[in-house]
Amino acid sequence: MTRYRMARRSFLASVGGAIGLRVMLGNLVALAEGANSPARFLITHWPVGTLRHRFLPMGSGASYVASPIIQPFIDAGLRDDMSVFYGFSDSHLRCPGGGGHEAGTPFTTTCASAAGTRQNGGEGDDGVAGGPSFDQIFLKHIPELQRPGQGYVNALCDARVDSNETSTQCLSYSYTTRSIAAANPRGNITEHTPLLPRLGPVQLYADLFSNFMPGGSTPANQETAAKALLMRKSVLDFSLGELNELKRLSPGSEAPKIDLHAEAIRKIEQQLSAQIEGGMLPTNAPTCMVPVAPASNLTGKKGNAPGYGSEQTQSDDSPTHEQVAKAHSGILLAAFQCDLIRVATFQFSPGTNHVSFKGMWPSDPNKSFMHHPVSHMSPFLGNASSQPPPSGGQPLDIYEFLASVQTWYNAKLASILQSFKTTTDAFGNSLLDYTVIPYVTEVAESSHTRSPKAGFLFGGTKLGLKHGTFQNFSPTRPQADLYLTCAQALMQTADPKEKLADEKFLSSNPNCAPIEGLWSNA
Amino acid sequence: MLLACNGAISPPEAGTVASFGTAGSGVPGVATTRVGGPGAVMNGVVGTGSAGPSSSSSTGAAGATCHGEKLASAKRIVRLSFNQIANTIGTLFSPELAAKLIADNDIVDWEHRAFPPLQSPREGNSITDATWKTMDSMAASAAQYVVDNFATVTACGADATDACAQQYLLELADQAFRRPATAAEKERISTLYSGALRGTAGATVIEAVQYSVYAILQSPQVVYRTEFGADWTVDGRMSDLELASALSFFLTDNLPDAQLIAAANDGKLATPTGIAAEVDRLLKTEPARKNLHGAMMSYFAFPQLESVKIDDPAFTDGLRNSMYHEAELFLQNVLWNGHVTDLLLSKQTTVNANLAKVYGATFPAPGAKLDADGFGPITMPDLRMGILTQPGFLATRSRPDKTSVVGRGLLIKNAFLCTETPPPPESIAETIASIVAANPDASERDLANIRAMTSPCFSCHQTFDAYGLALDSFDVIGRHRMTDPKGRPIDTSVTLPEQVGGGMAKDAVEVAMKLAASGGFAECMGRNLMNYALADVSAGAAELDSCAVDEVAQAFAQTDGSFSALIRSVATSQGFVARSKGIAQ
Repeated sequence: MTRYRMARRSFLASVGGAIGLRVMLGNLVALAEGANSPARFLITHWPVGTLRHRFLPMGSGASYVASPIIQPFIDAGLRDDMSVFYGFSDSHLRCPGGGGHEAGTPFTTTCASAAGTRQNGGEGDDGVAGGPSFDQIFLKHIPELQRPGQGYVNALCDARVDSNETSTQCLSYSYTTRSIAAANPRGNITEHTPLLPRLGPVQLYADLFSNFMPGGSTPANQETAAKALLMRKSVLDFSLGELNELKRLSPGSEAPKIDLHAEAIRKIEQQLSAQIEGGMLPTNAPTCMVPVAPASNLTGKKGNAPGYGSEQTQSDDSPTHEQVAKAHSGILLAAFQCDLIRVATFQFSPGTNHVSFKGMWPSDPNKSFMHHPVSHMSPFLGNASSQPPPSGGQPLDIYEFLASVQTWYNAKLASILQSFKTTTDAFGNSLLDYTVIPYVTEVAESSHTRSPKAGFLFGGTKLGLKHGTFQNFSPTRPQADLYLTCAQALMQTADPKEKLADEKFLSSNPNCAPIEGLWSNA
Repeated sequence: MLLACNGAISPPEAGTVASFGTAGSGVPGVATTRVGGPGAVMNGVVGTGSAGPSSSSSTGAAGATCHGEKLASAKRIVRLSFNQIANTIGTLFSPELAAKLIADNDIVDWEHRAFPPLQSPREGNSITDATWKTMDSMAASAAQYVVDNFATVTACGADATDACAQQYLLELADQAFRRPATAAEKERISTLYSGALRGTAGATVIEAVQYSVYAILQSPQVVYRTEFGADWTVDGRMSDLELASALSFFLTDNLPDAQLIAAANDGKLATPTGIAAEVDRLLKTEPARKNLHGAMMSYFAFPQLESVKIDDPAFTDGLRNSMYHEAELFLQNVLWNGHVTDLLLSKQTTVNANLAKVYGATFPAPGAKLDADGFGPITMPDLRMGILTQPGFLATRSRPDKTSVVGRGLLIKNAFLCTETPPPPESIAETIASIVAANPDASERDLANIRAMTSPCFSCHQTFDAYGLALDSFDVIGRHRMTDPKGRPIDTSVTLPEQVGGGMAKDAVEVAMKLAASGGFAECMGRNLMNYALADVSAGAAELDSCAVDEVAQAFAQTDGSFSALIRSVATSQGFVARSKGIAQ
């Protein structure tokens, strides 16, 4: 990370830089004029559920003793910034034909039943979303979370899937719906449009910090930037006009595609308009940290990679996987600090995770294996994840491997959250204190059961969240309860359902409610 | 929903789409007069005059019943893939620029794309926030390229005039839109240049050109193809220029070249003969061959060789690369010099010394010349035939230490017969595990026999286990073997599924012959290529038993059986050239 004093010695050369700088300056100026640090929301996800007997802490409430899987967060000093849960359920949600991970991933961020699976040229189990995801729900309902432009980003560290699936590599779903061909049921179904994440950190970086160049914000340079904004806006206005023409001439079935395209442009166009109207900016704006651009060749892998039956791999992917995760999370942190966005999603990998890990196979640490394919290796019975560790042999290797991989992911997230805790925003407040971060998974365990699922909630203590406890729900509670707890902090209300009354997740979870005792008015 | 044969296509409605320029050639009447005539599509495009009804069920040449429409898709817009946009920019400006855009934006290369490319979750059929950013970034980079090479690209010199600059932009729009810009479009481009950029923003000539190029390249006219024909409210063929674009992106993954545009403007795409002539011309070009070869490499999953793990000391990186290269050479030869069934039946392949050992073949073959990489032609040994027995193909689906009858069987059923098999339900996971646990020493044949006698396993496994058993005489890297790892003789004789006509096959060679003879394989290839040509199958893919695929199969049956003929059969079919009426919603 490099210190980057935007107001005094930064400038730009090209199109993206003109906008990026103006946006950042404008945001920081506005931020400085505000009364307090803003609320932020970040959905994070880990793949393939957990192993009950390795996850469950001893005890409950504030006196729980962390299990090995949870320990990385304790080691990172996050105990008081974290609530741990066991017993969320998506069992009541429906998605005809949807696979375990494929239906489970949209379930876990939309909490809504869905119409079925999309026809994707591969397996027919690619579940669609039946509602918008909570990042988009909060973005819509909480003005404080909105920023000029798209107002959110989504990041993914590895995109390998089984068979063309979209569902497993996307946490974020739009309010916009469209009709698509279904694999199950036959015919067309309506889905909420996936808002696919960026896989390459360099692309994520470009989205947020494109082309900031050294220089200075002299009046002449600001004038150049203002001109670039005007020219860019002209381009977008032209595109919107041409899209209108296309829509006028197209069959109605094509309107959703055109609307989505126009919506993407309109967000940027509105951002430009605001910046143009903002005029010259003061030169004493606060500062923020802009990350160094990641290497252009640093990216997660992608494509179909079934791997079942060939779980062992040639090489260990985890070092690159970790680098991608660090790069993505560093960019997200900086974007929060510079107040470019206040909403994001961060996903390590699809639930059908094909990242390979070395050193986690007890009987032969030199071997590398892919995460999710191992979870279906034989002999590893469907419900083994909910059983105590096997006595030995390959079942034990599989069990320990899965536990170690989840611990690895938790250690990486703990490190990211530590950075959030120690990084301050323009007011000198910890980013973590004002960022609400649910950490969720798409299945309860490798057998694809949808209950009881583990989950975490981090941050947001200055928004009223009370952490430091473990809760084991019996009976289980809908996953939506976790998001309603987030909503309490983000909306500063004990009863957020009232303001979210028209949302689809409520019809799928009529009895959902915030988890008691985790929030009080800050 | 009948097409043309009952006169359902309406006469052209002038002006319906003209202002967006999608009515056809940009030359009024060229496309529309041909589309409007009753029978034009049925008798002209299909070429047999006997295609029968386009909807409901009808009986194909082989006596099979087809279902649904001959028109595989409704009138629509189709977004270009990232690669197609990069290629377009490469053609308009510089191939090096295209390569840079592909690298900068992390776009998958031609052998690693999904099949069809828009089916990749990284692409999708619509432009959302993230995809827009990528397209915007490519357009901005191309605009910067124009600035950096202004004199060369625009031919307007360093002191460019507004007149020269605008002339350049209008010519660029004609090329980039893949048809002449309409008068209204030209006016809007001029307004952008003169009014918004030179006027309001105070841009210099170079800046105004930069931002106008940026606008043109991210305009919907560039990033979408339309498939409206003369009137989207009725069934009918695409306009000739729409067809030229569809054909070009299908074959070359790039915008149409000047000859194809000329053929469209001259009305030569109105007949199957004219389309076929362009197909034949394009298939002789490097871009088309590279594109389709890459698509088939991807289809057969050869890129998986890069990552597959096999615990065999012979499976070195060198052998891995050799297998990949053999596949490339094999596909190149069969696709452009042989018959589609040669994929299954060819005895000829090209290997190096390492691979020859796997084959157990004499190398080099007597009289054979080796290429610079040390590869030379051989005739496969007796027990091998076609792609099924190629080491690379077998290795991509092997486990690290053992072969998989089920995996190989599923692969053949899926990739060669286009038939999906649902995964086993979780509820029988314990049944599977208990079978495996109770029979620790069972051979693959024994396990297959147990599955054949166990409910509910047999209902699915009877449809694919036979293929895997026939291939069990090849080990994890494709060496022939007579016994399994425990020294038991391997019996490769099988009773084939009804899908390929049933009956006995004694080994992989006979399985390959049965697959080829059944017609199911060629039909599957036809279906796959039709869906590849349709590009966006999110609103409906051509199914194996559909009348759209049946039409291709019937047409293909009348040809020499080459891959080029299959491409031609797809390209001249109603399913490709025509669309059912748009959905008004």
